[in-house]
Amino acid sequence: MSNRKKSRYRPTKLDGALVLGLGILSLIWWYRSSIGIAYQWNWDEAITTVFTSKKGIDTPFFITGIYATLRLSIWAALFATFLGFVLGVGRYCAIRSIRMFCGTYIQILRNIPPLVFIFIFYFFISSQVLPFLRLDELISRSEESGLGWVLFGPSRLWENLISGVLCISFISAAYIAEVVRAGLTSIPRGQWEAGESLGIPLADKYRFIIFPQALARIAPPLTGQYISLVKDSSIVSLISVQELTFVGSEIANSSGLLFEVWLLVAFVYFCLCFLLSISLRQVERRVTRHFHRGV
Amino acid sequence: MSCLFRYLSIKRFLSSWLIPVVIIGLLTFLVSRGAENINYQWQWYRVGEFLIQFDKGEWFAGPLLKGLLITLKISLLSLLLTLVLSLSTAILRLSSSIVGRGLARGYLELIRNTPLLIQLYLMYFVFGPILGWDKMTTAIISLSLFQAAYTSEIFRAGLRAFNRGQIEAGLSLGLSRTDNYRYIILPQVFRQMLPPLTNEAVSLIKNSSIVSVIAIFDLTTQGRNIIAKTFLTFEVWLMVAAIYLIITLTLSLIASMVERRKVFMK
Repeated sequence: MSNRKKSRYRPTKLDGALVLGLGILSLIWWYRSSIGIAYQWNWDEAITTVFTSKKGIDTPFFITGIYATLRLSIWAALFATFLGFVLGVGRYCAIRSIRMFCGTYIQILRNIPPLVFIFIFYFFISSQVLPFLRLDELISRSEESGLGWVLFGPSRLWENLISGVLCISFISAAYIAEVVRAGLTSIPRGQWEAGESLGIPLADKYRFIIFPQALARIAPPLTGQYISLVKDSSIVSLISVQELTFVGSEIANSSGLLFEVWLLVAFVYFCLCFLLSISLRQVERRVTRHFHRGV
Repeated sequence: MSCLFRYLSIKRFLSSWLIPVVIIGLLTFLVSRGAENINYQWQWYRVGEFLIQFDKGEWFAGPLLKGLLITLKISLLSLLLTLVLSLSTAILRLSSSIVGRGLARGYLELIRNTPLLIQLYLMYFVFGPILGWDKMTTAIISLSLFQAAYTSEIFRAGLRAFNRGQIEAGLSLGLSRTDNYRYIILPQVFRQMLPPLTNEAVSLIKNSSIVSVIAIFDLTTQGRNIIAKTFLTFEVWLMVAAIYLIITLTLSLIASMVERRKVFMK
Protein backbone atom coordinates (compact mmCIF):
# COMPACT_ATOMS: atom_id res chain seq x y z
CA MET A 1 0.00 0.00 0.00
CA SER A 2 2.80 2.37 0.72
CA ASN A 3 5.86 2.73 -1.37
CA ARG A 4 8.11 4.46 1.09
CA LYS A 5 11.16 6.08 -0.40
CA LYS A 6 14.38 6.75 1.40
CA SER A 7 14.66 10.08 -0.39
CA ARG A 8 13.03 13.36 0.60
CA TYR A 9 9.44 12.97 1.77
CA ARG A 10 6.86 14.44 -0.56
CA PRO A 11 3.51 15.37 0.98
CA THR A 12 0.53 13.58 -0.52
CA LYS A 13 -3.03 14.76 -1.03
CA LEU A 14 -4.03 12.90 2.13
CA ASP A 15 -1.54 14.99 4.14
CA GLY A 16 -3.11 18.18 2.87
CA ALA A 17 -6.63 16.97 3.57
CA LEU A 18 -5.73 15.90 7.10
CA VAL A 19 -3.97 19.17 7.92
CA LEU A 20 -6.96 21.06 6.59
CA GLY A 21 -9.35 18.91 8.64
CA LEU A 22 -7.29 19.41 11.79
CA GLY A 23 -7.20 23.14 11.17
CA ILE A 24 -10.97 23.31 10.83
CA LEU A 25 -11.46 21.19 13.96
CA SER A 26 -9.16 23.36 16.05
CA LEU A 27 -10.90 26.49 14.76
CA ILE A 28 -14.27 25.06 15.85
CA TRP A 29 -12.72 24.11 19.19
CA TRP A 30 -11.26 27.57 19.68
CA TYR A 31 -14.52 29.23 18.68
CA ARG A 32 -16.68 27.11 20.98
CA SER A 33 -14.36 27.31 23.95
CA SER A 34 -13.69 31.05 23.84
CA ILE A 35 -16.99 32.35 22.46
CA GLY A 36 -19.48 29.50 22.82
CA ILE A 37 -19.34 28.81 26.55
CA ALA A 38 -16.72 31.38 27.52
CA TYR A 39 -14.79 29.24 29.96
CA GLN A 40 -12.17 31.08 31.98
CA TRP A 41 -9.05 28.93 31.87
CA ASN A 42 -7.16 29.33 35.09
CA TRP A 43 -4.12 27.12 34.96
CA ASP A 44 -2.15 29.10 37.58
CA GLU A 45 -4.73 28.56 40.24
CA ALA A 46 -5.21 24.93 39.25
CA ILE A 47 -1.49 24.21 39.58
CA THR A 48 -1.26 25.91 42.95
CA THR A 49 -4.40 24.15 44.24
CA VAL A 50 -3.07 20.80 43.17
CA PHE A 51 0.46 21.18 44.49
CA THR A 52 -0.05 22.94 47.80
CA SER A 53 -0.71 20.91 50.90
CA LYS A 54 -3.33 21.55 53.47
CA LYS A 55 -2.49 22.56 57.00
CA GLY A 56 -0.99 19.78 59.09
CA ILE A 57 -0.37 17.39 56.20
CA ASP A 58 3.02 17.46 54.57
CA THR A 59 2.22 16.02 51.14
CA PRO A 60 -0.36 17.65 48.86
CA PHE A 61 -3.61 15.75 48.46
CA PHE A 62 -3.08 15.23 44.73
CA ILE A 63 0.36 13.68 45.29
CA THR A 64 -1.02 11.28 47.89
CA GLY A 65 -3.52 10.24 45.21
CA ILE A 66 -0.68 9.42 42.81
CA TYR A 67 1.11 7.45 45.55
CA ALA A 68 -2.09 5.60 46.33
CA THR A 69 -2.64 4.64 42.70
CA LEU A 70 0.94 3.40 42.45
CA ARG A 71 0.65 1.43 45.68
CA LEU A 72 -2.69 -0.03 44.65
CA SER A 73 -1.38 -1.02 41.23
CA ILE A 74 1.77 -2.66 42.53
CA TRP A 75 0.04 -4.76 45.20
CA ALA A 76 -2.79 -5.63 42.84
CA ALA A 77 -0.32 -6.62 40.11
CA LEU A 78 1.53 -8.93 42.49
CA PHE A 79 -1.61 -10.56 43.82
CA ALA A 80 -3.24 -10.79 40.40
CA THR A 81 -0.14 -12.44 38.93
CA PHE A 82 -0.16 -15.03 41.69
CA LEU A 83 -3.87 -15.69 41.41
CA GLY A 84 -3.77 -15.64 37.62
CA PHE A 85 -0.99 -18.22 37.46
CA VAL A 86 -2.82 -20.45 39.94
CA LEU A 87 -6.04 -20.20 37.92
CA GLY A 88 -4.24 -20.64 34.60
CA VAL A 89 -2.38 -23.74 35.76
CA GLY A 90 -5.62 -24.89 37.39
CA ARG A 91 -7.12 -25.11 33.91
CA TYR A 92 -4.57 -27.86 33.31
CA CYS A 93 -5.22 -29.71 36.55
CA ALA A 94 -5.90 -33.44 36.36
CA ILE A 95 -8.97 -33.10 38.57
CA ARG A 96 -11.90 -32.11 36.47
CA SER A 97 -13.84 -30.04 38.97
CA ILE A 98 -10.84 -27.83 39.68
CA ARG A 99 -10.46 -27.33 35.96
CA MET A 100 -14.13 -26.48 35.75
CA PHE A 101 -13.99 -24.15 38.70
CA CYS A 102 -11.11 -22.17 37.23
CA GLY A 103 -12.84 -22.07 33.86
CA THR A 104 -16.08 -20.83 35.37
CA TYR A 105 -14.30 -18.16 37.39
CA ILE A 106 -12.48 -16.91 34.31
CA GLN A 107 -15.60 -16.95 32.14
CA ILE A 108 -17.77 -15.12 34.65
CA LEU A 109 -15.22 -12.46 35.52
CA ARG A 110 -14.42 -11.79 31.90
CA ASN A 111 -18.04 -11.57 30.90
CA ILE A 112 -19.56 -9.22 33.42
CA PRO A 113 -18.71 -5.52 33.36
CA PRO A 114 -15.91 -4.60 35.79
CA LEU A 115 -18.16 -1.93 37.26
CA VAL A 116 -20.88 -4.43 38.15
CA PHE A 117 -18.29 -6.75 39.64
CA ILE A 118 -16.93 -3.92 41.73
CA PHE A 119 -20.34 -3.12 43.17
CA ILE A 120 -21.07 -6.78 43.86
CA PHE A 121 -17.68 -7.11 45.47
CA TYR A 122 -18.28 -4.02 47.55
CA PHE A 123 -21.56 -5.26 48.96
CA PHE A 124 -20.80 -8.97 49.28
CA ILE A 125 -17.17 -9.55 49.92
CA SER A 126 -15.97 -6.29 51.35
CA SER A 127 -18.59 -6.28 54.04
CA GLN A 128 -18.09 -9.96 54.93
CA VAL A 129 -14.46 -10.86 54.37
CA LEU A 130 -12.80 -7.79 55.77
CA PRO A 131 -14.38 -7.99 59.22
CA PHE A 132 -13.44 -11.66 59.18
CA LEU A 133 -9.78 -10.75 58.74
CA ARG A 134 -9.92 -8.75 62.01
CA LEU A 135 -8.11 -5.91 60.39
CA ASP A 136 -9.24 -3.26 62.83
CA GLU A 137 -7.39 -4.98 65.67
CA LEU A 138 -4.25 -5.10 63.58
CA ILE A 139 -4.58 -1.44 62.74
CA SER A 140 -5.09 -0.38 66.32
CA ARG A 141 -2.01 -2.35 67.40
CA SER A 142 0.32 -1.07 64.68
CA GLU A 143 2.19 2.19 64.76
CA GLU A 144 2.96 4.55 61.95
CA SER A 145 6.41 3.79 60.65
CA GLY A 146 8.27 5.06 57.61
CA LEU A 147 8.49 1.78 55.74
CA GLY A 148 4.90 0.85 56.52
CA TRP A 149 3.77 4.16 55.13
CA VAL A 150 5.71 3.69 51.91
CA LEU A 151 4.38 0.15 51.44
CA PHE A 152 0.81 0.39 52.66
CA GLY A 153 0.06 4.07 53.16
CA PRO A 154 -1.52 5.60 56.26
CA SER A 155 -2.97 2.91 58.51
CA ARG A 156 -6.41 4.46 58.68
CA LEU A 157 -6.77 3.69 54.96
CA TRP A 158 -5.59 0.07 55.14
CA GLU A 159 -9.04 -1.39 54.91
CA ASN A 160 -9.71 0.89 51.99
CA LEU A 161 -6.50 -0.22 50.29
CA ILE A 162 -7.18 -3.91 50.82
CA SER A 163 -10.63 -3.82 49.30
CA GLY A 164 -9.25 -1.90 46.33
CA VAL A 165 -6.37 -4.33 45.84
CA LEU A 166 -8.60 -7.41 46.11
CA CYS A 167 -11.15 -5.94 43.77
CA ILE A 168 -8.73 -5.07 40.97
CA SER A 169 -6.73 -8.24 41.32
CA PHE A 170 -9.79 -10.49 41.20
CA ILE A 171 -10.72 -8.92 37.87
CA SER A 172 -7.21 -8.82 36.48
CA ALA A 173 -6.47 -12.40 37.59
CA ALA A 174 -9.14 -13.73 35.22
CA TYR A 175 -7.45 -12.05 32.27
CA ILE A 176 -3.96 -13.08 33.39
CA ALA A 177 -5.20 -16.66 33.80
CA GLU A 178 -6.36 -16.63 30.20
CA VAL A 179 -2.93 -15.36 29.11
CA VAL A 180 -1.19 -18.07 31.13
CA ARG A 181 -3.48 -20.73 29.72
CA ALA A 182 -2.76 -19.59 26.17
CA GLY A 183 0.97 -19.70 26.96
CA LEU A 184 0.71 -23.23 28.33
CA THR A 185 -1.34 -24.34 25.32
CA SER A 186 1.42 -23.14 23.02
CA ILE A 187 3.88 -25.64 24.50
CA PRO A 188 3.97 -28.73 22.27
CA ARG A 189 2.47 -31.90 23.77
CA GLY A 190 5.78 -33.68 23.36
CA GLN A 191 7.31 -31.48 26.04
CA TRP A 192 4.67 -32.47 28.60
CA GLU A 193 4.96 -36.12 27.67
CA ALA A 194 8.74 -36.00 27.77
CA GLY A 195 8.55 -34.65 31.29
CA GLU A 196 6.16 -37.38 32.32
CA SER A 197 8.13 -40.16 30.73
CA LEU A 198 11.28 -39.04 32.50
CA GLY A 199 9.36 -39.38 35.76
CA ILE A 200 9.83 -35.75 36.75
CA PRO A 201 7.46 -34.72 39.56
CA LEU A 202 4.67 -32.34 38.67
CA ALA A 203 6.13 -29.25 40.32
CA ASP A 204 9.54 -29.82 38.77
CA LYS A 205 7.96 -30.43 35.40
CA TYR A 206 6.34 -27.02 35.51
CA ARG A 207 9.42 -25.38 36.95
CA PHE A 208 12.12 -26.75 34.68
CA ILE A 209 10.32 -27.69 31.48
CA ILE A 210 7.06 -25.90 30.93
CA PHE A 211 7.44 -22.47 32.47
CA PRO A 212 10.85 -21.54 31.05
CA GLN A 213 9.39 -22.03 27.59
CA ALA A 214 5.93 -20.67 28.31
CA LEU A 215 7.13 -17.49 30.02
CA ALA A 216 8.57 -16.08 26.82
CA ARG A 217 5.15 -16.41 25.23
CA ILE A 218 3.29 -15.20 28.29
CA ALA A 219 5.41 -12.07 28.81
CA PRO A 220 4.21 -9.85 25.94
CA PRO A 221 0.46 -10.13 26.63
CA LEU A 222 1.14 -10.07 30.37
CA THR A 223 2.77 -6.65 30.15
CA GLY A 224 -0.31 -5.43 28.34
CA GLN A 225 -2.41 -6.74 31.21
CA TYR A 226 -0.34 -4.78 33.73
CA ILE A 227 -1.00 -1.57 31.86
CA SER A 228 -4.71 -2.21 31.77
CA LEU A 229 -4.54 -3.03 35.47
CA VAL A 230 -3.19 0.45 36.20
CA LYS A 231 -5.97 1.90 34.07
CA ASP A 232 -8.67 -0.29 35.62
CA SER A 233 -7.56 0.87 39.04
CA SER A 234 -9.38 4.12 38.29
CA ILE A 235 -12.82 2.53 38.61
CA VAL A 236 -12.36 1.53 42.23
CA SER A 237 -12.68 5.23 42.96
CA LEU A 238 -16.42 4.55 42.65
CA ILE A 239 -16.37 2.49 45.83
CA SER A 240 -14.44 5.31 47.55
CA VAL A 241 -10.99 3.80 47.41
CA GLN A 242 -8.87 6.90 47.71
CA GLU A 243 -6.70 6.88 44.62
CA LEU A 244 -5.91 9.35 41.88
CA THR A 245 -9.36 9.48 40.27
CA PHE A 246 -11.09 9.83 43.62
CA VAL A 247 -8.69 12.56 44.69
CA GLY A 248 -9.09 14.24 41.31
CA SER A 249 -12.86 14.36 41.56
CA GLU A 250 -12.64 15.70 45.12
CA ILE A 251 -10.30 18.50 44.09
CA ALA A 252 -12.29 19.26 40.92
CA ASN A 253 -15.53 19.52 42.86
CA SER A 254 -14.15 21.53 45.74
CA SER A 255 -12.16 24.01 43.68
CA GLY A 256 -14.55 24.26 40.74
CA LEU A 257 -11.64 24.09 38.28
CA LEU A 258 -13.20 21.13 36.47
CA PHE A 259 -11.44 21.45 33.12
CA GLU A 260 -7.92 21.95 34.45
CA VAL A 261 -8.03 19.30 37.16
CA TRP A 262 -9.46 16.58 34.92
CA LEU A 263 -6.92 17.36 32.21
CA LEU A 264 -4.16 17.13 34.84
CA VAL A 265 -5.45 13.79 36.12
CA ALA A 266 -5.59 12.43 32.57
CA PHE A 267 -2.06 13.70 31.98
CA VAL A 268 -0.73 11.96 35.10
CA TYR A 269 -2.38 8.66 34.10
CA PHE A 270 -0.95 9.05 30.63
CA CYS A 271 2.57 9.59 32.00
CA LEU A 272 2.26 6.61 34.37
CA CYS A 273 1.01 4.22 31.71
CA PHE A 274 3.31 5.49 28.99
CA LEU A 275 6.41 5.16 31.16
CA LEU A 276 5.23 1.74 32.28
CA SER A 277 4.67 0.58 28.72
CA ILE A 278 8.11 1.81 27.63
CA SER A 279 9.89 0.09 30.50
CA LEU A 280 7.83 -3.10 30.16
CA ARG A 281 8.70 -3.18 26.47
CA GLN A 282 12.35 -3.42 27.50
CA VAL A 283 11.60 -6.33 29.81
CA GLU A 284 9.58 -8.00 27.10
CA ARG A 285 12.41 -7.63 24.61
CA ARG A 286 14.80 -9.15 27.13
CA VAL A 287 12.52 -12.14 27.75
CA THR A 288 11.71 -12.85 24.14
CA ARG A 289 15.27 -12.22 22.98
CA HIS A 290 15.82 -15.73 21.71
CA PHE A 291 12.86 -15.51 19.35
CA HIS A 292 14.41 -12.66 17.40
CA ARG A 293 17.91 -14.05 17.27
CA GLY A 294 18.50 -15.71 13.93
CA VAL A 295 18.62 -19.46 14.35
CA MET B 1 -29.46 -25.75 12.73
CA SER B 2 -27.66 -29.05 12.91
CA CYS B 3 -24.55 -27.36 14.27
CA LEU B 4 -26.64 -25.88 17.06
CA PHE B 5 -27.94 -29.30 18.08
CA ARG B 6 -24.51 -30.77 18.05
CA TYR B 7 -23.29 -27.98 20.22
CA LEU B 8 -26.02 -28.59 22.73
CA SER B 9 -25.72 -32.37 22.84
CA ILE B 10 -26.26 -34.22 26.12
CA LYS B 11 -22.67 -35.21 26.62
CA ARG B 12 -21.42 -31.75 26.04
CA PHE B 13 -24.10 -30.42 28.33
CA LEU B 14 -23.00 -32.71 31.14
CA SER B 15 -19.33 -32.02 30.71
CA SER B 16 -19.40 -28.30 30.13
CA TRP B 17 -22.47 -27.09 31.98
CA LEU B 18 -23.30 -29.44 34.84
CA ILE B 19 -20.22 -28.96 36.95
CA PRO B 20 -20.19 -25.16 36.74
CA VAL B 21 -23.83 -25.28 37.75
CA VAL B 22 -22.92 -27.39 40.78
CA ILE B 23 -20.16 -24.95 41.68
CA ILE B 24 -22.48 -22.00 41.28
CA GLY B 25 -24.97 -23.82 43.51
CA LEU B 26 -22.30 -24.21 46.17
CA LEU B 27 -21.37 -20.54 45.93
CA THR B 28 -25.02 -19.58 46.22
CA PHE B 29 -25.26 -21.70 49.33
CA LEU B 30 -22.24 -19.93 50.82
CA VAL B 31 -23.61 -16.51 49.95
CA SER B 32 -26.98 -17.32 51.45
CA ARG B 33 -25.31 -18.56 54.63
CA GLY B 34 -23.34 -15.32 54.74
CA ALA B 35 -26.53 -13.35 54.25
CA GLU B 36 -28.20 -15.32 57.03
CA ASN B 37 -25.37 -14.31 59.32
CA ILE B 38 -26.10 -10.64 58.76
CA ASN B 39 -29.86 -11.26 58.93
CA TYR B 40 -30.54 -10.51 55.31
CA GLN B 41 -34.11 -11.08 54.15
CA TRP B 42 -34.16 -12.64 50.71
CA GLN B 43 -37.01 -11.32 48.62
CA TRP B 44 -36.55 -12.94 45.26
CA TYR B 45 -40.25 -12.77 44.52
CA ARG B 46 -39.96 -8.99 44.18
CA VAL B 47 -37.34 -9.18 41.47
CA GLY B 48 -39.77 -10.09 38.68
CA GLU B 49 -41.49 -6.73 38.76
CA PHE B 50 -38.22 -4.97 37.97
CA LEU B 51 -37.99 -6.92 34.75
CA ILE B 52 -41.54 -6.84 33.52
CA GLN B 53 -44.76 -5.49 34.98
CA PHE B 54 -48.39 -6.42 34.46
CA ASP B 55 -50.90 -3.67 34.86
CA LYS B 56 -54.49 -3.24 33.62
CA GLY B 57 -54.26 -6.14 31.22
CA GLU B 58 -51.03 -4.95 29.62
CA TRP B 59 -47.40 -5.83 29.99
CA PHE B 60 -44.88 -3.09 30.69
CA ALA B 61 -41.12 -3.26 30.59
CA GLY B 62 -39.70 -2.90 34.08
CA PRO B 63 -36.77 -0.61 34.86
CA LEU B 64 -34.17 -3.33 34.36
CA LEU B 65 -35.50 -4.18 30.91
CA LYS B 66 -35.62 -0.50 29.98
CA GLY B 67 -32.05 -0.16 31.18
CA LEU B 68 -31.05 -3.16 29.14
CA LEU B 69 -32.53 -1.57 26.02
CA ILE B 70 -30.53 1.62 26.66
CA THR B 71 -27.39 -0.44 27.20
CA LEU B 72 -27.96 -2.29 23.94
CA LYS B 73 -28.69 0.94 22.10
CA ILE B 74 -25.52 2.59 23.36
CA SER B 75 -23.48 -0.50 22.54
CA LEU B 76 -24.90 -0.82 19.04
CA LEU B 77 -24.39 2.83 18.12
CA SER B 78 -20.90 2.76 19.61
CA LEU B 79 -20.13 -0.38 17.67
CA LEU B 80 -21.04 1.32 14.39
CA LEU B 81 -18.94 4.37 15.24
CA THR B 82 -16.13 2.12 16.45
CA LEU B 83 -16.06 0.31 13.12
CA VAL B 84 -15.76 3.58 11.20
CA LEU B 85 -13.14 5.05 13.53
CA SER B 86 -11.02 1.94 13.82
CA LEU B 87 -11.06 1.28 10.11
CA SER B 88 -9.96 4.85 9.36
CA THR B 89 -7.26 4.65 12.03
CA ALA B 90 -5.97 1.39 10.60
CA ILE B 91 -5.93 2.78 7.07
CA LEU B 92 -4.19 5.97 8.24
CA ARG B 93 -1.56 3.93 10.07
CA LEU B 94 -0.84 1.95 6.93
CA SER B 95 -0.98 4.96 4.64
CA SER B 96 2.03 6.65 3.09
CA SER B 97 1.10 10.01 4.56
CA ILE B 98 3.27 11.19 7.45
CA VAL B 99 0.53 13.35 8.97
CA GLY B 100 -1.88 10.42 8.81
CA ARG B 101 0.50 8.02 10.51
CA GLY B 102 1.42 10.57 13.16
CA LEU B 103 -2.21 11.34 13.84
CA ALA B 104 -3.11 7.68 14.19
CA ARG B 105 -0.11 6.98 16.44
CA GLY B 106 -0.89 9.96 18.67
CA TYR B 107 -4.54 8.96 18.97
CA LEU B 108 -3.68 5.35 19.84
CA GLU B 109 -1.09 6.27 22.47
CA LEU B 110 -3.38 8.84 24.04
CA ILE B 111 -6.36 6.50 24.31
CA ARG B 112 -4.46 3.38 25.32
CA ASN B 113 -2.58 5.06 28.12
CA THR B 114 -5.49 6.66 29.94
CA PRO B 115 -8.35 4.92 31.78
CA LEU B 116 -11.79 4.84 30.20
CA LEU B 117 -13.31 6.40 33.29
CA ILE B 118 -11.00 9.42 33.01
CA GLN B 119 -11.76 9.72 29.31
CA LEU B 120 -15.45 9.68 30.08
CA TYR B 121 -15.05 12.35 32.78
CA LEU B 122 -12.96 14.48 30.41
CA MET B 123 -15.56 14.13 27.67
CA TYR B 124 -18.39 14.84 30.07
CA PHE B 125 -16.87 17.76 31.95
CA VAL B 126 -14.57 19.34 29.36
CA PHE B 127 -15.23 18.37 25.74
CA GLY B 128 -18.99 17.87 26.02
CA PRO B 129 -19.84 21.36 27.27
CA ILE B 130 -17.43 23.01 24.83
CA LEU B 131 -18.74 21.17 21.79
CA GLY B 132 -22.33 21.14 23.02
CA TRP B 133 -22.95 17.41 23.24
CA ASP B 134 -25.70 15.88 25.35
CA LYS B 135 -25.05 12.98 27.74
CA MET B 136 -25.96 10.24 25.30
CA THR B 137 -23.68 11.60 22.55
CA THR B 138 -20.87 12.02 25.05
CA ALA B 139 -21.25 8.43 26.18
CA ILE B 140 -21.37 6.99 22.68
CA ILE B 141 -18.45 9.06 21.43
CA SER B 142 -16.18 8.30 24.37
CA LEU B 143 -17.01 4.59 24.32
CA SER B 144 -16.29 4.32 20.63
CA LEU B 145 -13.14 6.44 20.80
CA PHE B 146 -11.89 4.06 23.50
CA GLN B 147 -12.88 0.86 21.75
CA ALA B 148 -11.68 1.97 18.32
CA ALA B 149 -8.12 2.26 19.62
CA TYR B 150 -8.17 -1.47 20.33
CA THR B 151 -10.29 -2.56 17.37
CA SER B 152 -8.02 -0.75 14.92
CA GLU B 153 -5.33 -3.26 15.80
CA ILE B 154 -7.58 -6.07 14.54
CA PHE B 155 -8.22 -4.20 11.31
CA ARG B 156 -4.54 -3.44 10.91
CA ALA B 157 -3.63 -7.09 11.37
CA GLY B 158 -6.37 -8.06 8.93
CA LEU B 159 -5.21 -5.55 6.33
CA ARG B 160 -1.56 -6.49 6.69
CA ALA B 161 -2.24 -10.20 6.46
CA PHE B 162 -4.19 -9.52 3.30
CA ASN B 163 -2.95 -11.25 0.21
CA ARG B 164 -0.99 -8.68 -1.81
CA GLY B 165 -1.89 -10.46 -5.01
CA GLN B 166 -5.50 -9.40 -4.56
CA ILE B 167 -4.54 -5.75 -4.29
CA GLU B 168 -2.24 -5.96 -7.27
CA ALA B 169 -4.91 -7.76 -9.28
CA GLY B 170 -7.35 -4.99 -8.47
CA LEU B 171 -4.87 -2.29 -9.42
CA SER B 172 -3.89 -4.05 -12.62
CA LEU B 173 -7.54 -4.25 -13.60
CA GLY B 174 -7.52 -0.47 -13.44
CA LEU B 175 -9.59 -0.05 -10.27
CA SER B 176 -8.94 3.18 -8.44
CA ARG B 177 -7.52 3.02 -4.89
CA THR B 178 -10.92 3.73 -3.37
CA ASP B 179 -12.68 1.14 -5.50
CA ASN B 180 -9.93 -1.31 -4.69
CA TYR B 181 -10.58 -0.87 -0.99
CA ARG B 182 -14.33 -0.93 -1.43
CA TYR B 183 -14.80 -3.92 -3.71
CA ILE B 184 -11.73 -6.07 -3.18
CA ILE B 185 -10.07 -5.53 0.18
CA LEU B 186 -12.80 -4.62 2.66
CA PRO B 187 -15.34 -7.37 1.81
CA GLN B 188 -12.68 -10.02 2.34
CA VAL B 189 -11.18 -8.40 5.42
CA PHE B 190 -14.58 -8.00 7.06
CA ARG B 191 -15.45 -11.61 6.51
CA GLN B 192 -12.19 -12.75 8.07
CA MET B 193 -12.61 -10.50 11.04
CA LEU B 194 -16.16 -11.30 12.02
CA PRO B 195 -15.20 -13.50 14.99
CA PRO B 196 -12.71 -11.07 16.56
CA LEU B 197 -15.16 -8.24 15.98
CA THR B 198 -17.78 -10.09 18.03
CA ASN B 199 -15.33 -10.01 20.92
CA GLU B 200 -15.10 -6.27 20.47
CA ALA B 201 -18.88 -6.06 20.69
CA VAL B 202 -18.77 -8.03 23.94
CA SER B 203 -16.22 -5.68 25.41
CA LEU B 204 -18.28 -2.69 24.29
CA ILE B 205 -21.31 -4.04 26.13
CA LYS B 206 -19.18 -4.56 29.22
CA ASN B 207 -17.60 -1.13 29.01
CA SER B 208 -20.95 0.51 28.44
CA SER B 209 -21.77 -0.08 32.10
CA ILE B 210 -19.31 2.66 32.95
CA VAL B 211 -21.60 5.32 31.48
CA SER B 212 -23.70 4.93 34.61
CA VAL B 213 -21.31 7.41 36.26
CA ILE B 214 -22.67 10.21 34.09
CA ALA B 215 -26.26 9.32 35.01
CA ILE B 216 -27.43 7.64 31.83
CA PHE B 217 -30.22 5.23 32.64
CA ASP B 218 -28.58 2.05 31.48
CA LEU B 219 -28.80 -1.36 33.11
CA THR B 220 -26.24 -0.57 35.81
CA THR B 221 -27.81 2.77 36.73
CA GLN B 222 -31.26 1.22 36.89
CA GLY B 223 -29.88 -1.46 39.18
CA ARG B 224 -28.35 1.18 41.45
CA ASN B 225 -31.58 3.15 41.52
CA ILE B 226 -33.69 0.13 42.42
CA ILE B 227 -31.30 -0.69 45.24
CA ALA B 228 -31.45 2.85 46.52
CA LYS B 229 -35.23 2.58 46.62
CA THR B 230 -35.76 -0.95 47.86
CA PHE B 231 -32.49 -2.06 49.54
CA LEU B 232 -32.62 -5.38 47.68
CA THR B 233 -28.86 -5.13 47.20
CA PHE B 234 -28.04 -8.78 46.75
CA GLU B 235 -30.93 -9.79 44.52
CA VAL B 236 -30.67 -6.86 42.16
CA TRP B 237 -26.90 -6.97 41.72
CA LEU B 238 -27.00 -10.70 41.05
CA MET B 239 -29.81 -10.11 38.58
CA VAL B 240 -27.91 -7.34 36.77
CA ALA B 241 -24.77 -9.46 36.58
CA ALA B 242 -26.81 -12.39 35.26
CA ILE B 243 -28.35 -10.26 32.51
CA TYR B 244 -24.95 -9.00 31.40
CA LEU B 245 -23.59 -12.52 31.57
CA ILE B 246 -26.39 -13.94 29.43
CA ILE B 247 -25.90 -11.34 26.72
CA THR B 248 -22.12 -11.47 26.58
CA LEU B 249 -21.99 -15.27 26.75
CA THR B 250 -24.57 -15.56 23.97
CA LEU B 251 -22.47 -13.28 21.79
CA SER B 252 -19.30 -15.23 22.60
CA LEU B 253 -21.10 -18.48 21.82
CA ILE B 254 -22.19 -17.14 18.44
CA ALA B 255 -18.63 -15.99 17.78
CA SER B 256 -17.15 -19.37 18.60
CA MET B 257 -19.77 -21.13 16.49
CA VAL B 258 -19.02 -18.85 13.57
CA GLU B 259 -15.33 -19.46 14.02
CA ARG B 260 -15.74 -23.22 14.25
CA ARG B 261 -18.26 -23.74 11.51
CA LYS B 262 -17.35 -20.80 9.31
CA VAL B 263 -21.06 -20.36 8.71
CA PHE B 264 -20.55 -17.10 6.92
CA MET B 265 -17.53 -18.12 4.98
CA LYS B 266 -18.95 -20.23 2.20
